Amino acid sequence: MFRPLRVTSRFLSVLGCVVVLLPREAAAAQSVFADGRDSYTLLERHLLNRQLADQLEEQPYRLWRSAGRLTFASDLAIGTQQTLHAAQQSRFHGYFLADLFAAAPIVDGLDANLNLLTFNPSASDGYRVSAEVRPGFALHWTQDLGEVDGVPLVANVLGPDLGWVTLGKGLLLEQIPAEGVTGDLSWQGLGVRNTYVGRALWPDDDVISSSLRVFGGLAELGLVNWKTHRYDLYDDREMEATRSAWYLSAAVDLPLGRGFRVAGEYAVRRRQGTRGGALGRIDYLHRGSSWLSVHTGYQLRWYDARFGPRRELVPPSSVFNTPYQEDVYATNSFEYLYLSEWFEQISHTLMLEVHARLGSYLDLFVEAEEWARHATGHGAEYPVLYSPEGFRAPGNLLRLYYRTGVSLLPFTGLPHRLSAFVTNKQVRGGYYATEPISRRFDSGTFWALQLEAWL
Amino acid sequence: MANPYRIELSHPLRYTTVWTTGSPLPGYSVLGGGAVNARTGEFQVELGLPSREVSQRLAPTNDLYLYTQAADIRSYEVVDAYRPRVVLYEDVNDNEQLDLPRATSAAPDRVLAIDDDYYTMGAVLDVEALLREAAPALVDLYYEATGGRFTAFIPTRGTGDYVYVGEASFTYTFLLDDSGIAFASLECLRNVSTRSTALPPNVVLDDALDTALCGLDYGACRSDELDRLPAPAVSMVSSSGYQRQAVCRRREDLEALAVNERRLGCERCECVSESTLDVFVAAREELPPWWPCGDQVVYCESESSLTGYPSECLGLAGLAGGTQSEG
Repeated sequence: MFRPLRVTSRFLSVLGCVVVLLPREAAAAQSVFADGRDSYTLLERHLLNRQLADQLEEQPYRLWRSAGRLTFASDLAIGTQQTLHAAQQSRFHGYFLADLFAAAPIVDGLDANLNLLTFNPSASDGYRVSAEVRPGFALHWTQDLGEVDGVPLVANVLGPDLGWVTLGKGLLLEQIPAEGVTGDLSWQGLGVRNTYVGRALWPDDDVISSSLRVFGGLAELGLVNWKTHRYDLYDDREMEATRSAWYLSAAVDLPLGRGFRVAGEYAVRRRQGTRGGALGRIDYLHRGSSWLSVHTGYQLRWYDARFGPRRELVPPSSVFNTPYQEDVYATNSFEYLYLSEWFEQISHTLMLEVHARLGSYLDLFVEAEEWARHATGHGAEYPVLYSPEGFRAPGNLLRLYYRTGVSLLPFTGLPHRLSAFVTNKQVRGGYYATEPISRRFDSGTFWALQLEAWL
Repeated sequence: MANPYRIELSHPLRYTTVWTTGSPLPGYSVLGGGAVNARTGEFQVELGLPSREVSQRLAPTNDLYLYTQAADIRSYEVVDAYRPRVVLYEDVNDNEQLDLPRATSAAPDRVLAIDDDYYTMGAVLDVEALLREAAPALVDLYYEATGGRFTAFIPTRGTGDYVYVGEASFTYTFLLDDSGIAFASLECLRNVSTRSTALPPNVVLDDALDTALCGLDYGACRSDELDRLPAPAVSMVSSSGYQRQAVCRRREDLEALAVNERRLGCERCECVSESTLDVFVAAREELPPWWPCGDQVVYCESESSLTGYPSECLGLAGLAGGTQSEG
């Protein structure tokens, strides 16, 4: 008999209780299958296109959550943006965004999930001229295959809309919107998962990941095959056989109590010897009190020269460029892999988000990310390169990303808000949101007004 | 480096780079250099950038056009570049530096060769800006052209307003030339016009012959006593500024001596190659005593006009004695 998925991992049961999230963080208290979102941040965690009913359990303010067997949700926003110190406005500067979700069980254990992300990035283009609808669809199958020692063996299959994908703790791939398929078997804190991502960071890549989770996900071993098709992008011709970059990784994620957590990942690959990469992260997260939520964290990243999966000077590109990308840290593997062929890279990042409630209706918020990067040339001769983000290698760069402002929440108990803020982190985009871009954020300082509602 | 005209060098041969500037007054900045092995002809050119102050005054600069296309994606970038001159000179005063005519009170050095106008090396004036702003495909193109080196110097091809990225396997080639064209190219900032003129033949018939022999051939035609004329110089000369060759012809009872000379001279950014042809015709039975045919000058068999210099006879000059014909 099929029944809906209820994932109760040992990790959550050890903690003993579920952290109640503020409406600002639109994530379900219960784990969502293959959730690639960062769970240690106060940046917005947008809904995933699966287990919609589970995600909405902690969001009672949603007015129209279900109609019979169907579940609905929509995240709505309109906004305007002007420049303070910038040459021009970014792509989303007079926009609306309507993220519509619908989920329906086909049979017990098999759900159909539809997401329609509709938006118009710029009113300046004319009436509905640049409006887009970008649908995503996922079938999610979950089933108890039986019991072993009285504990269910649970299978999950999901695809093709995987949403935000993270492998391990994000050393190789972190919060990248992707399509593909993922399959999982879990039993009593153990789990094996296989994920196929059709397009990760390059138009000609495929990523196949296999992982083994133990202790309810506290530790994980991974094997990643990052394929690139040796397609000469500039001469438009197939080259030789597909090239595979194999990575072996180990990751841990340890809650220390009182809101503290440490996580880390180490990976190696064979390429003219052994090439390594590592990520270490420590976070403190406090939320749920009446007036203050705080996240602060530090992450260290190290990428050895020739650790990246491709040898050619082709920067990663993003093909889904909406304001949602602003809720992902700038510190991301996306920014390291272009330079990886020639440079060893180390970075230190401090993250800070503070949300403070003033009175009944006002929220002050500060979100900051201080990112220090360092690149060293490898070998006797190496080129000088600039990353699309403007980082000169070899060299150092210190950069602060921030968003700070105030939100007015006029409806008691409801998260709908009008925000005014100053930021230097606005998503960069082409005319269409799916045009590939290699620089994720526009440079400059902007101020913005944004009205948001959750239905 | 080659010396096809066998220019005699009595002083060391050296190279240097010259960076021309345009403000406040046109001028030169000479940078670096070294000896050239005149025997082997091979040497290494070391290129270095001038000071910032000179770099800001370089003229003329070019637009270096980087372009690549893959599928439907075209990428191009235009950057400022300057193509420095590499000059080979005979160091007349042995001071290991280039002393240009009219630029120094010292005895000027002889400028004997200069880099090619079309295929040469260029210096990108702001490499950092190129790497920062160009598309990755163009960065790739840049490093392909420089052999993977981070350097301002990049092979170029083209002349005029636009130059393009050249082949990574670029090699300088120099031909020693004492005609003055190398110095003109330097002084005129690569803007030298060249033209060739060929004066009409000057035909001198022995006074025993009828001037009707000249027929309707273009040029001057006159009779004179060849016996009393001084013997024309007929020895073959081949230098960059002056060339001479002579050939003899015969038909029935007539013989002709044709002397072709070419002079190359440069003045005010214009180099002119002027060619003259002197033809002497005499009866075989009454040749003047200085007649060199068959001795200093070979005979060439040709059906073309006796008062011209047949093209099939070119190259035969210098082969003393006997009759030669091509084909």
